[in-house]
Amino acid sequence: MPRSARLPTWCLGLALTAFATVAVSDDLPEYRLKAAFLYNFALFTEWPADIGATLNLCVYGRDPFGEEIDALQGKPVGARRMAVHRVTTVEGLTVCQIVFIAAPSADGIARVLSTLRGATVLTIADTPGAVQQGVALNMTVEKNKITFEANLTAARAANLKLSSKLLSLATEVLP
Amino acid sequence: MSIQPLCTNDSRAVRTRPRRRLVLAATLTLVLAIPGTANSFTLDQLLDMPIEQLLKLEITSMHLPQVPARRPPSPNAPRAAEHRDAT
Repeated sequence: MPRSARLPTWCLGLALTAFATVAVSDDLPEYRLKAAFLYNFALFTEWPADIGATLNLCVYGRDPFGEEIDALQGKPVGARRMAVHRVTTVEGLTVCQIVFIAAPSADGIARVLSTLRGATVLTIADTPGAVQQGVALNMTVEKNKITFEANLTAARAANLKLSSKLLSLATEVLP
Repeated sequence: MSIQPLCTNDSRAVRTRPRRRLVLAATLTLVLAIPGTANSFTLDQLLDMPIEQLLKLEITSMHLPQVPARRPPSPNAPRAAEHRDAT
């Protein structure tokens, strides 16, 4: 094969190798997986009958999910449908049934909990120590895997029951 | 019977051998690449998985939180920092 004819062959080989490298690399960003957990948390929660047909999931503070979480829009949770909102003020949380307190807003956990006191709202965070502060479910990353903790008192105070299956999978359950 | 066609066939065979090898390599590359793409999940695929399976999945890219603008330190600031260090 003449040397000039080898060049396209090499180029094709390099292109295929590059394609293969891209294709075999895993792609699972942190907040895509966390969004899937949010949906599961909603599924494994017993919701009171009087909350209506829509479960409003509110991301409070700086949204770390980006467009990913929009895939939850309209997803069924039992007989209800999920609606996704991005909320930047605590006053805006009054319409929510699920509130995710994003990590950059972690210093606002106390404010959010105080605003939602007594309301039927499942509070979720991904900040170390959030369940101890009174958040019902908190996600953490350990060895690149998501784990979560639960606070039963917080769930009960919100008139919500977390399923025994969910609790059995939690790394820590505060009574 | 002429020798000419045989010679032509031989030279064609020599010419097509590297090409055949390339096609084989390309096919092998694609076959190797296809199972890899199965590890890349969309959110819709994740939503169909049982929670037990989600707990086993490994994150490939961590989200880097955007640092908010500097604010005056709050009384609980040192405590929050301790928690972060612990993990």
